[in-house]
Amino acid sequence: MLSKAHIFLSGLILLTLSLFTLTARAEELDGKALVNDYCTACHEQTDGGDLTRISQVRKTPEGWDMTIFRMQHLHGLDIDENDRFAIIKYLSDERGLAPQEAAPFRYVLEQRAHFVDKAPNDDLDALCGRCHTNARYGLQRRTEDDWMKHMHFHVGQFPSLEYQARSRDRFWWQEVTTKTYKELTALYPFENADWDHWKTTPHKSPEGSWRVSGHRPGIGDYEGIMTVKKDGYYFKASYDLHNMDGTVLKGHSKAVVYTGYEWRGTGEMSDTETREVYAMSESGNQMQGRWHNAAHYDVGGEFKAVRIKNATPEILVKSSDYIRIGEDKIITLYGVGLSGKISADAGLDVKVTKQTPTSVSLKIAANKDMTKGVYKITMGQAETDVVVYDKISTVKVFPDWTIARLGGGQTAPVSAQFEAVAYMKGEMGDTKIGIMPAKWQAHPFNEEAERLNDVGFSGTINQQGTFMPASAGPNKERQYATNNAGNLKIVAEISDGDHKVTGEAQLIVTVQRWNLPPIR
Amino acid sequence: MRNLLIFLGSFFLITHGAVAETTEYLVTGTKPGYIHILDMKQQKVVRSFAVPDAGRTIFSLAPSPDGKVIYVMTNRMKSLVGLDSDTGEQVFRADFVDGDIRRQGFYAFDISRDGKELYVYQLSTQILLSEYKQLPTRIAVYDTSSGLNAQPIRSFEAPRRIHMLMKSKDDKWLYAAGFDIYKMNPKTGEIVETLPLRNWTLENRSLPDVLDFWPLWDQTDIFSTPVFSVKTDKAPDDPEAYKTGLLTLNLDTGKYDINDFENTSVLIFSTVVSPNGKHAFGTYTQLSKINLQTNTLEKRIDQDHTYYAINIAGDGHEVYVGGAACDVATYDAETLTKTGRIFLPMGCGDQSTSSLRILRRERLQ
Repeated sequence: MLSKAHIFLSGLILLTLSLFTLTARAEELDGKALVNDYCTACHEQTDGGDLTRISQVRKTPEGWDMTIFRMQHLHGLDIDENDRFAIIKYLSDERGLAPQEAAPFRYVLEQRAHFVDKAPNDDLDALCGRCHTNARYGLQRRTEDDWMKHMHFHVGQFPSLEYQARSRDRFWWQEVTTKTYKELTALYPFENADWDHWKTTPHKSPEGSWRVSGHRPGIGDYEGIMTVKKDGYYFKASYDLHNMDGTVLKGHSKAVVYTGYEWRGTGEMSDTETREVYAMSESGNQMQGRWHNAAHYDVGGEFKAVRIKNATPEILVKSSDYIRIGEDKIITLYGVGLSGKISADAGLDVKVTKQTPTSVSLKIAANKDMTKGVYKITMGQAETDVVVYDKISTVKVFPDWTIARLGGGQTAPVSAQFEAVAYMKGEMGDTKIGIMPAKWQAHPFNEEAERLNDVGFSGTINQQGTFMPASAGPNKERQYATNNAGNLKIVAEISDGDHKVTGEAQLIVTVQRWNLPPIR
Repeated sequence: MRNLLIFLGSFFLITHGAVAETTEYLVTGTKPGYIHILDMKQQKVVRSFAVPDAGRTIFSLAPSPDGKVIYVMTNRMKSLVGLDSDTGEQVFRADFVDGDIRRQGFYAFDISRDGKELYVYQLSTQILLSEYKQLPTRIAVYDTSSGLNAQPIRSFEAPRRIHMLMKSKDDKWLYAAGFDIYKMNPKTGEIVETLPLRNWTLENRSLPDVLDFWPLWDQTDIFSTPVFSVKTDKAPDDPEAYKTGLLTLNLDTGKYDINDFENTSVLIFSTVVSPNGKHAFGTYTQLSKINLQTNTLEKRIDQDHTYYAINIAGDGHEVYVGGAACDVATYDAETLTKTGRIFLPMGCGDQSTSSLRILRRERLQ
């Protein structure tokens, strides 16, 4: 049964803004003229120069990408890849979202496999959120008239939606055409002060040197330098990074900045094809987001970059967050402007062994008679905490519940990545110590899962906390010939001296998603 | 003695051949766009026909009363096609698209008992240059003799969210199941009575949850469907709070009932009433036998896999399940013991949500 599990190294066609297919011609194209060429056959021009529908909506680059995809596949639009790109770029710049508008929903743009998606209220959760993420509509701005047209489109395109569970118990059509479109207009209006401000703000270029830090779930933190150079219409980034164990992580990418801040890169990191989704801050001095494996959106890294030039001193990441009483340890701090004098809270014995403006190695001794707690280390304006602990009291698994998806055919599996976080008892309740290595196991979540042997069929968890699901489709070896879905309890066991502490999470291994639009 | 039996046997065949003996078959559909006629007594597929321009999936099915034509909702529910049940020849086709108006069915259609008219529920969307405009939902009526370019002979507005159309046995009424069950004048669309479902008046009860697009009343003229609801005066963790009931509508007498028969413990997609009216059978991953005299669950077994659709033999002895995956299984109606299984041919890619209908016609050679 488990021998049937496949690991798909390729085959997933993820519809994202890839730059690989573009030629040099793209940068010479005039997006506005192309919109007029391609779109006005159906989207009529009004006296004021607006185009029907197009001029009444604002979206992210991914949103415009999906619109053009729909025009190609449902409305016969035949368009050259370069022209397509230039139109997306133009529309994202002219009718995009302000950084503040996109901020609450970046988890979807960043293609995260695990996120918490909350609707503004239960009605919208049932009406929209039962099929889409709530980010899907949260990342759109429309006029009231256009939100209404959106309702007409939905039933015309997806006639079954009035019949679905969480829909058929309400008068769907009546509700969305009398109430919901107005509610969406109030929540996500076409006209908005943030956008008015952003449209008139001069946007910063990402060119320059950046101090980079990040975390790859299941692997650990990394740090290094990103250098960005302008290359015509694009930007080229090169990465010189290190994992905390010292191994090298090298890469490069080609990127476009949409809407003045939406960095979308296509590249490679240590021979793996990647996609990058970052947002630049308004000051142009910070970039934050996520990069992921192009074929497996579930595998990737958190990303934060700080422009080195004139940077405010800051510690971005460190080789360890904690030290056990009775231990000596070298902890290296990575950041920018780290040339200040080191000081630490009383009781923490800290010695500098090496110091550069971007990293400082400290020898830290936690003497046996030390008081456990959180100790602050400062270096001029930069500061960080180190936790001194005596004993692990609790282990929490993050995420505490999530899903993985079976893989098969053209659709890659979606893994689930867990991390074990240790806590100690403190005066104010549990104090977080940090992520620690653990022994990982999968157990049946309940009696039904045990009866159907979900553990045996659904997939395997490795000792990095990665759950790799089994293959999709009916399985004749299972009762009811059902697929390899499962309901599992994921257990992490951390050894702390001579005692062991465990934490648990719930994992639902579920079926495939057949369509993978950039915004789910 | 043996010779006598042979003599009597041949006499029987000859005399009954003259009055057109009818045989009972089962009809189902599979991807990519086939219908199959099954002889369940002989446990074999006797006909498989490709449905022209099917768009892969066969949705609901209805045989003509004389068994000569099988009507199929197909082409992404944008067409209704009639095939000769002996030759597979396309004898009727209504493509719903109407100029710039995209019309699409949602399973619900039925044929009149005189075999002359087809009733199809349609959603209507006007495709304008840069927008879609939703038009009122409607029921379109087609003449079965219209051939391959059938246009509606009349139509009338109908409530939204209809999932089942049923003609009364006397052909006087058309029932449309949706939020409630509407009894309509089939000539005008006037709703003469609303059988309460969403508007039921059970106290301390949630709205009922019903969605059924399997027309399975062939043997009894009784439409039946599971009804799921929640008792709001019970604690959410009390198993007594969750009720499964059975809705029955007698298309002959108009008798309409809803009775709980168990605390919800499994899903049931479709049900069928036995010819003697004493039991109903329901299917999903389990096969359930419901006693209609006591409104209790009488027996339940696990199936080899999930089956969506269920039907029953005319003599009530065998229950058939299909409408999912690529086989149709037979159970003994008394014991729920599995007695047969037919695998469907023509590169079957799944029965999808096809109906499982009884076809009665002269024996197919």
